[in-house]
Amino acid sequence: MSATLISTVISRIRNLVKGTTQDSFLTDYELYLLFKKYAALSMKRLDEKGKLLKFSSVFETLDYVELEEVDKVEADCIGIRSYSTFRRTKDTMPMFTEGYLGPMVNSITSLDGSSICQLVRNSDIYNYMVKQKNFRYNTTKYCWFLNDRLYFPNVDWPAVRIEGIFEEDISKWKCASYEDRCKPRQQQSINVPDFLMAEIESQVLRDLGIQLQLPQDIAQNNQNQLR
Amino acid sequence: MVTNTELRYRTLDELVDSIRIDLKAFSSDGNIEIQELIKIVQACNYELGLGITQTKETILEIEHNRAKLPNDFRFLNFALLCHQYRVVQPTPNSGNMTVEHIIPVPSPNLTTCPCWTVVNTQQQEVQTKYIDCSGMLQGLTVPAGATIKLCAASIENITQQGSSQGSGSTVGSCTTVVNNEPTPQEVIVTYFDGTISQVIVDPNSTTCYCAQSVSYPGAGDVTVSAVGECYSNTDTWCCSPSNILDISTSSFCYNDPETATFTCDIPQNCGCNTPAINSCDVVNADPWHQNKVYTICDNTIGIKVMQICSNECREYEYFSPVYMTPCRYASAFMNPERNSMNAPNQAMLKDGFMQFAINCGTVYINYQGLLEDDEGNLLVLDHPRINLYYEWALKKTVIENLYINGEPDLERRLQYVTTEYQKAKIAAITIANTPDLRVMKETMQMIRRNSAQRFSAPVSRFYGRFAGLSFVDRWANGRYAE
Repeated sequence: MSATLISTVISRIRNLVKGTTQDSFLTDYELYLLFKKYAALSMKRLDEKGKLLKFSSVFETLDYVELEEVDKVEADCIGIRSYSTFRRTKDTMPMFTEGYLGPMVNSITSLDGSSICQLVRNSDIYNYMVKQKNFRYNTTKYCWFLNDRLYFPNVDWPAVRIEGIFEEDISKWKCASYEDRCKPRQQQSINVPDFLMAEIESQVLRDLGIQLQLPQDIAQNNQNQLR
Repeated sequence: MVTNTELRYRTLDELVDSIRIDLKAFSSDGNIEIQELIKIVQACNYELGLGITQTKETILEIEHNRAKLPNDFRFLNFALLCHQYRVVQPTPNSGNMTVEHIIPVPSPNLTTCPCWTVVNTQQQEVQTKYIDCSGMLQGLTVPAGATIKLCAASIENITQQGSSQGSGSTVGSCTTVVNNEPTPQEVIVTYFDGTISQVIVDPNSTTCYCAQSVSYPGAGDVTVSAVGECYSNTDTWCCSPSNILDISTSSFCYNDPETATFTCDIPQNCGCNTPAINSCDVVNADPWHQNKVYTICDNTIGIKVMQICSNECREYEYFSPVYMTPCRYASAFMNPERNSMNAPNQAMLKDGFMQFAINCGTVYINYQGLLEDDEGNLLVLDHPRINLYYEWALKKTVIENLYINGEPDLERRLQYVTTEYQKAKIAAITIANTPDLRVMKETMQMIRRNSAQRFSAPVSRFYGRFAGLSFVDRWANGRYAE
């Protein structure tokens, strides 16, 4: 299923509000922001019910996110006394769509997908775990977000693979060609399930109805100053 | 738990993956956190009891009077100090021939065989017998005036032969003088050398004299009577026989690592400062991680311990028992009367170490270990019915934690899971506590025996093997108890 482009969504809304001609009061960006606002709300509600992750079409994958080694001070793990190594993503991460329980990350794994990393809220959770006597039985790999980077304790992988729902374009984190990286924003896809489009558009229209009065079809075509 | 079958185990990860399959929704949300579940699994293992634990064995090196216990140590079954071991190595060229080396354990292992000091105060050599530390009867010749040290289980001492021959071939005997008077009385003693002396005997006392004759010239209540022979001890005579050899002991023997024999003196080559004879030391500093230790029969009635190192195999055949003392009874306060095992091979468990009185050595321990595999992964029992107990316990924990953290609409699910968990727990503990068939048979036989005894108690004075015994004996032994 091909992803819906942002321009497609904007033009659909313009058609609904009869704003297809040039309009100084109704810009593409305004429509896009309105759409994004209600899309985030709908997706969060769907995630709360646990149904969002079933739609794989909205997920995008960063196949190779390089890691670099850092010390425990940078990883915010000063309280850990035992010998531990820390790695973090070399570049800052793109913005994830916020879900009910935090960023919508489907999986963080090793490059071949064999080892899965568990995302925790912050480094404090990991610090508490490490201090437990029975932590030696825990073979799970953990990671957390800090200052837009992901931190990984005790992994020796050169890179990781991340799958999630991103708010912005992730072409520059991928091995994309120059043309793909410089694509206009309207030509990029929007990661919203198609079945939510109708609900989101109706909410956008309700919001826009406050700002403008929708004119009649023929009688007002040549007389309305908005056009 | 029944013992006529081998228990199977699976790792914690397998168990958690099993519940991830059941709780798909919670798993995809990341609500199943393994760190929260480890303590629940450990609690479940504890509830099922010692019957599911693994019996493990290993060999520990004693350094500076203590040996580090394994990380998975839980309860000690018994411990044995090891003496020399045999190494069997294949020759490099022809694979069929093997070379055996007897290598002593580099330690001055104390034994329970006492070290005796034998002093011969006679002017001639004395021959006696003793039982050596291995239980064999041996002969011993002690030169005149010599002092020797000997390792033996027991030594026979020779007592003086009685002789009434004095110097100059005078015949005499041992005479007792009993003075019943309240005042000292005087007696006349004629010794073997012809000396005649007047000796004062204390009032109300009894005195013995080894002399040719003793007489009382007075008229008081003094009794003079001959009681036996006199005994010679070098140049004196006495009434009581005395031992010819002066035998005493105050220490135990050591096992000489060079010759594997018993010696009173501590061997010079205590292994802590000498180069290691075995090459396993350089392989891995963690002996209980890589060494495989197991016991096998030695084709007789004995058992030997096999230790597989990386490049050789050792067989330990000679052991000494180790008596464990409770840690809270420190040696300085330990009451020796309470401790009937007054042996040098004592040890106690303290702070993760086994502490000994000896400086260095090797000890074999048989213990109940924690449920861990060789790689340190936590294990759970793999049984079709007991698996449900673990799984319901983990599911209950997952939903409980979500409920406590404020997740809505979980009460009914939690109630359902709790009910199922309780049912599974009862079934699992019943299975785990099922006794072995042998134990059940013995219990049944004991019950039948007791019932038969109670049934026949009223007539047991007339019939049965207790007939004819006195009433008191039967009453004391409770045969009429009902």
